Amino acid sequence: MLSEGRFLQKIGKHCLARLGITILLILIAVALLAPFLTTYQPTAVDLYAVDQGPSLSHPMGTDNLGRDILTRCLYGGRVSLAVGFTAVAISLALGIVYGTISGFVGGWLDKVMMGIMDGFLALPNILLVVAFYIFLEPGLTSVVLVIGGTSWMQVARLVRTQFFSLKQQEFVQAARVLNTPGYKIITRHLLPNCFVPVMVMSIINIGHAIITESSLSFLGLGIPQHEPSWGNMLMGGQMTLLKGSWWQTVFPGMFIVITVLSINFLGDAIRDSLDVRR
Amino acid sequence: MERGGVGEKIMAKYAFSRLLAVIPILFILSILAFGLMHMAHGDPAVAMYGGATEKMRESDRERIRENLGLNQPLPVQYCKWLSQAVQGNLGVSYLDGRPVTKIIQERIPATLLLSFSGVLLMVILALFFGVISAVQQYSFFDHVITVISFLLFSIPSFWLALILILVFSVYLGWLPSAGINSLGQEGNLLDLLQHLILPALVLAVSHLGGYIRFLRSSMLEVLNQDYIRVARARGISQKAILYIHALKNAILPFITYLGLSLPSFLAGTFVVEVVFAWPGMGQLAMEAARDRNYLVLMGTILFSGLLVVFCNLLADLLCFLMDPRIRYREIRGHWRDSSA
Repeated sequence: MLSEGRFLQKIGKHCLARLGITILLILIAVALLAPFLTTYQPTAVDLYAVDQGPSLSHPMGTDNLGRDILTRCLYGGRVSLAVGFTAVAISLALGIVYGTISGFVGGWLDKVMMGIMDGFLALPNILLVVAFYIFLEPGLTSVVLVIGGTSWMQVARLVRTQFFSLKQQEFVQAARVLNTPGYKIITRHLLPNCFVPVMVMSIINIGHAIITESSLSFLGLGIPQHEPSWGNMLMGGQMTLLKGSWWQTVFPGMFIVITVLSINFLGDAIRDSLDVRR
Repeated sequence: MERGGVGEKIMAKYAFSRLLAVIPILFILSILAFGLMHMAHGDPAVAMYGGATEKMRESDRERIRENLGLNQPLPVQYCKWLSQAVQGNLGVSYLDGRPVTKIIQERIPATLLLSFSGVLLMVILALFFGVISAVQQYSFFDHVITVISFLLFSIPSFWLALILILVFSVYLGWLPSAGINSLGQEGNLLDLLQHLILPALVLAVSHLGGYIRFLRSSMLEVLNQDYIRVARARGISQKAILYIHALKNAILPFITYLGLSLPSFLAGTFVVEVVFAWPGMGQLAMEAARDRNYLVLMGTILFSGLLVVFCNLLADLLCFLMDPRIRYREIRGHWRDSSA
């Protein structure tokens, strides 16, 4: 295992990681500073400028209600990024608790818990998300809760596997012999050693969460229509796509791809720097 | 391996043991579906009649509850529901009063056709690009494939679908943008193929990235093994080494990976179905979700769970047939059991 200082140093040198972080920071800054970067309102309807292609006044064109696409993309970034980060935080908390219980206790409880998890994993994720979502009030909070609540399984499995292999190691067995209380073994010895692989997985999961949110909104089951989100914009764009209004589909999608790509760069770079074989 | 009696017996035994391992998963699936149905605001009238419940009188709701035996404890209700579900009775859709099982059965062939063509196309492409980039590791071609698979990994499938519709349907006008048949062309195979190309392509390409990476790394791992070096030393041709010795071994973890990632592939199918108005189970599920048609949605959950479990079994059996290590382990187990 690398020391933390060297680990950060190594990531800092990785050019993909730099690229990923830079793009991500720009996207976050641009989303937060949206009101200062554009003169349009994201929900302002302009019926004199419906379905216009890219021009000087509307660099990314307008949608079927004459709303400025660029403005909506910037504001939409707030939704997507917020959903991505908070949903992953929720799934992280759930997954760590679940994996810790299953991995630390072991025995029949572990078998039952893993069985339940396999049941969840056998279902297509989007179906699970939709099934839970229809029981909640449509809105940002529900989207975050549902995505977070249905993506904890991989984290749980990772934590459990790590626990199982760590439990065999001498320092944990020594701690047991010394009669260290269970919670202390978990918080001092086991969890800190899971930190890095769980972090890598979570970063990749942020990208997944953003794609899930946009799919959900695209299907008309996510963020309410009037609020700008990348998925919503694509849903709107689909209606005018056959008329050839490419800008309503291409630009919001580019924002999704660039965001997820930079997150994946970051995750991959971290995994690379941890790989001792290199 | 011995032909005839013993071999078949061992295979049957292996299949049976895998089948037993599936039962807990099916149990969890059924609990999940039942629980979700029960969560429908705690009111089964809502579960059965969806949005139409709002127009009902309180006395009618009471009557429905009584008729369904909802004053009984939950485990009893679950057992009753399960015994009906096993017989294929999942209730009726409140929209048109037709049995849920029948509605889903009509949608399954389209979903199977699309996902099977998608998987086939994806496996062919993954084999091609994965093997080449492993053989020519760190070459220009390898780098290009790595970048592309990274990009594909980050593209939502529905967006890719929209872009392809834009290019091939709107601008070039080569392929239809939606549906499974043109009007009045039902049963025309060529027409069906034309409609299939875009959705299957989207499905294959949007999942390709991960599979190429996986195949590349498992291929590299095999190529660095001693027996490959031995084969080279014996002067066996590069082609034979690649396709007979290396690929055969690299493909085993690939099959397992394919089986395990099937749920995400099916999820992709469902979203792609919606974009292309492909009349499959995914489109049905999303319609059901929008209409709050709970029973139909629960049905699609059960059926897609079953489909995944079944395909995983298939992957296991395929590995059993292809991997002598599993086979010999089972044979040894068989002899141990029969001599004891």
